Amino acid sequence: MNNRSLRNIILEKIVGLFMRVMVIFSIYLLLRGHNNPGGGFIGGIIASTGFIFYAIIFGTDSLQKVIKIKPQSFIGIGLLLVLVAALLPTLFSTEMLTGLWIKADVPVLGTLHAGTPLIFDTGVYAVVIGVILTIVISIMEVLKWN
Amino acid sequence: MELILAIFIGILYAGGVYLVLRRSIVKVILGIFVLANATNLIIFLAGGIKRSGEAFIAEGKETVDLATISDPLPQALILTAIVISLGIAAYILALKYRYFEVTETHDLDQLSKTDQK
Amino acid sequence: MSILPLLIIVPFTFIILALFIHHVRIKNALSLILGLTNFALAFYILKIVHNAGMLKTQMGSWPAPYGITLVADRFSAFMIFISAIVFLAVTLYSIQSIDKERLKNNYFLFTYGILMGVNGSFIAGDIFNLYVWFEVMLMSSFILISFGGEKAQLEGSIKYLILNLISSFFFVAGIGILYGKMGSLNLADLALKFSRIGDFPSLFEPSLILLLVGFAIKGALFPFFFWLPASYHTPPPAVSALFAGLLTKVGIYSLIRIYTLFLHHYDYFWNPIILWMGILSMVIGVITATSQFDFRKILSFHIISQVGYVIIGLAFYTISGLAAAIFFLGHNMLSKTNAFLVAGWVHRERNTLSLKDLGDMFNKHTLWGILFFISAFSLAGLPPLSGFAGKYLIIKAGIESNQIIVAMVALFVGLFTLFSMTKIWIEVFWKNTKNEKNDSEQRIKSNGLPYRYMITASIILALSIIVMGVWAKPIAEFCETAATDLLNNQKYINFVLG
Repeated sequence: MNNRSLRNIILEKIVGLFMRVMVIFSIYLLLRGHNNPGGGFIGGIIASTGFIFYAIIFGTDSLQKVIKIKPQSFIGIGLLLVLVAALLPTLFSTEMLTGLWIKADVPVLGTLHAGTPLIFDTGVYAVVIGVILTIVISIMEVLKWN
Repeated sequence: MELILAIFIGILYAGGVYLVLRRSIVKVILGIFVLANATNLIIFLAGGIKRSGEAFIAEGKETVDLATISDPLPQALILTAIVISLGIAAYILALKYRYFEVTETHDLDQLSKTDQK
Repeated sequence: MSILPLLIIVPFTFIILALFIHHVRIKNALSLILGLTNFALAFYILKIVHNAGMLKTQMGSWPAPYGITLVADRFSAFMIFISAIVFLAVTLYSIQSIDKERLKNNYFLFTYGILMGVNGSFIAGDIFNLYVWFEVMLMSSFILISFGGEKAQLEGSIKYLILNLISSFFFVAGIGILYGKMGSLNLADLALKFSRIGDFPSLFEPSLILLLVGFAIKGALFPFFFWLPASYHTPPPAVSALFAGLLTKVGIYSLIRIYTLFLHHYDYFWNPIILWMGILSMVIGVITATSQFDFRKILSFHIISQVGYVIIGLAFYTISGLAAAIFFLGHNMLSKTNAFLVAGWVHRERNTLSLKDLGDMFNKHTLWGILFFISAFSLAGLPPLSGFAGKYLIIKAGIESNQIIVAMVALFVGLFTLFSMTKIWIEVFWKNTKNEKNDSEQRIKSNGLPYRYMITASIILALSIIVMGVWAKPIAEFCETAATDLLNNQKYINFVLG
């Protein structure tokens, strides 16, 4: 905030909370994505909405401090995950992008059903966050919004 | 419902074409967005619309009744097309900003510098 | 694991690595290494396809009409191979010719985006996938054409951007309607369904017209070519060389693919349209080029005219016509890219591309003169260069299919091409300039071997042109087999669906 006198403590507190709620909700959507409405793209959009709200209130620099890695690296990590998910099945001598699934019994959660589509979706999630944050942060920097 | 949607798409296309033919670059860009949305709606309409359930196989079943679900493919296509138009929107707005910075005009008639005299 | 997806994975890997690596030298080296890898891969695929006929991969193990199919027949493999040569040469050229600022800002990331889109389009087995690869290619090309943000560049990129976006909308609307009618997106499955419906329900089938217009805008065919000469001369030379070599050709590739798969069922309607589009692109492109006085603009107009040759080859719709079209496509990619590369070097030397201000290059830079001579007169169709073989095959196919007038037009267009190329040759390389001051400046700049990479890139392409001209016979035979496969599309259908 450039102008200290315009600080609004309630807004700042709520936005900090709001961002965390959005991120947790987006992870929930990411995990339920395969058989229910949700998935990487929607999750990524919702998480980045939270980040954008934070950036509007506190400025892009403090957002950078919160998410720690650069948005471009998010894109890189996401694409890497997508590549891993695509290539993993070839190690088991099937075609690329084939879904591999494992079932595991986890004490608290019950039966866990996970596979390469989850890795793929996580990659999409990271790419979407990276792309949207890159767009918004560069626009905000050019227009001097922070 | 189909008819209403078809008429609506027609209006969107007409508006989009009208905007694209304007001289101001801002209006051209808005026209591009309108055309993109009209095109997405065409895919949606062409896939067939009817009141029906989502295209998931219910818990514990192996098959799904084809009469009760909607076709998931056009929705997947639209999602792809929307993502692509999101990227294009970001790019084209940045381009517009840069264009205005360099030329200080919105008028596309000023774009004749690169043409042969 | 099958080998086809590697064509997409190799550029994809570069894109990921480029996001993490910040050192320019490492990035350059990496781009060269992966360019070579892509070339080796393309050669290997060409070899396999030459022996086996076709290759396919069902992504995600979903069977053909439902999943995403990647398929390469001889035509695709040939195009992949030629575009790999072009891409390698342009990469080599870019390392030296593109300025530091652009290289630092991930210039190569976007050229690899183009490579990924081009490779993907050539092996796409379903039409929506084709659209997605088109978009990958277009997004990268949008960024490359406006990269740097100079004034002329912005003007060019706005024209390029808006017309190409509109063509994408045509294309995707066509796909939507086609899916609504046919219930399938797989090209082979669509071809099968089209062959079953028999008579056409309506001549003006909107989806096919939308598809055709979409491809015609992308391939810069008459009457949809206006964006090309308005924009191709604005970006840095290496970028326009890459665009000239690869982008429009993908549109033409797609047109040939859908024409041979299903449009040909209704050729009483489509054939005259395609033929006239080809003839008019050929004639109008070449005539407009004669009135230009900018190096790159002349070459841009010639892209339009040469695309016309390919399209008339398609419109003859005989084995020899299609074989000639494929051969000509390959020849044109190589020669056109090389001509643009030489134009880029001239721009670097003299800082202008207006023919009136240039001159006297041959005395000082004989090697570049020879390189330009090879590509320009290959475009014009002089033996023993590849253009001669290409034009000979087209005209021969025209005469064989009783289209004597079209063949005559093609001959005359060749004459005009020769005129334009001679004009460039005389104005840029041969003419004596009296500007002594300019000369002495140049001499300081060009001692030693300052343009090592650039000249190597150009030599690679020039050698390929000569090879394609001198050993035209085996290549033409290969194209003939490819054309036979294209005409006999039952084979493609059975292979993909089987």
